[in-house]
Amino acid sequence: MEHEELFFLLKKVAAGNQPAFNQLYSITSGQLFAVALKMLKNRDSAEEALQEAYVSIWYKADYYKEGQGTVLTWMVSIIRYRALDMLRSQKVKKEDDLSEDILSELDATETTESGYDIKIEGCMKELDQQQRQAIHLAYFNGLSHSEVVEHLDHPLGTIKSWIRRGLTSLQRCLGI
Amino acid sequence: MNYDNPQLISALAAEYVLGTLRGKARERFEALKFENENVVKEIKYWESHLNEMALHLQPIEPREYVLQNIRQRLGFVGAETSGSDVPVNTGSVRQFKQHKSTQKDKHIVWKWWSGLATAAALILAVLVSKNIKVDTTQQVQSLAVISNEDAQILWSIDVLANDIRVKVTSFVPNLPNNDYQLWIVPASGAAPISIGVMQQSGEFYLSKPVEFDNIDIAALAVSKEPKGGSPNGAPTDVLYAVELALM
Repeated sequence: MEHEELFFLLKKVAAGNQPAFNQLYSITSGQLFAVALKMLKNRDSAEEALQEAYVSIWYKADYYKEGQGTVLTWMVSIIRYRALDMLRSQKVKKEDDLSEDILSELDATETTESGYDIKIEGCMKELDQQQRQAIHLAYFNGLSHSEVVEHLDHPLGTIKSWIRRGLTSLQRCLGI
Repeated sequence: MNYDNPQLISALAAEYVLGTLRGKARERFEALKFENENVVKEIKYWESHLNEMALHLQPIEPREYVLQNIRQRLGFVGAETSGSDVPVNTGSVRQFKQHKSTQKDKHIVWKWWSGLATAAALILAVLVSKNIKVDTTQQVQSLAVISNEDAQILWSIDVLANDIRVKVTSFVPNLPNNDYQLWIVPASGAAPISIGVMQQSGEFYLSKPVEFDNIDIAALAVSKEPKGGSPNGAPTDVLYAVELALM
């Protein structure tokens, strides 16, 4: 999934090219769906978020500017904000209807090497284990500070501090 | 809070993208996007880096009907899905499981819509021309004021470039066991599109659905819903609606 290929398609999408939109969906929807599913833990809700995201991508394709991340990270932003909105407004169904297979796959893939040449990967590895775990929980599961507290069983102030310091360390590492 | 401090803006942007910036703080920071370009720059910076982490996840294919729903919503699909079993529109995949009742739901929607003309509520809406040449995303593009039968203002709704700002007055009855939900009623006759569940007090922002600027809107509507919002993607009990009038 090369950035240049996606950028080429996105420019066509911005010009209203429907086949390009179909192709963009075909190439990227699995990645975006995995992000939504990981956060929402519910297939129906994740597919609802996916629909909203691709409708948004169609209308906002010309908003993407090179130099502000890759096309794929831009698209991930759109699905994550949609999923976060759904979590905030409690629109996600409470019951978890994901099969154990999918859940274990989602958990396993979080730490799998992506194969992308990404700096964040190395920088995350340099964080304290606790900072890395707190940031991972917030990022991949869409958890608030308080929800991370429930998972890690440490005081709220400690969790906030881990995340804040972890992000500061990340920024320092990314700037090098 | 000093939003001129670059370190503070960067820290807030990081937690905004991560998702740990919540509630009023998130709303305030989102509002800052419209007036502080450094906020936008920092958000883009963190999006470009943090979202690389998502590439660790193995792709999982969604069900096939999702693309067909998207194509339907975007108006790509004409006859190719008519008569098929594919559930369409509404943005709610939950209707996939209920698609046999979709037509019934549409009748219910239009039953309340056609009955609105006789509603006792006093509704006032003013739409400001979108063609005014102002470039700020904080510019109010349109607004609606929804009042009750006693002319008491309940909600004042400002439509901005990317968000919808809602101010709730003290005249809005508190519903401890229900929520109010805001909807777009498309002029095309398609099913209403949810804007979001509304807080019952104060001022808050909702994300503006992408359809808002891309379809003809007949009205905004407020419905009474079970806690958490509509269970089936359609309004349950419409209380008020406002017909937008271009000026």
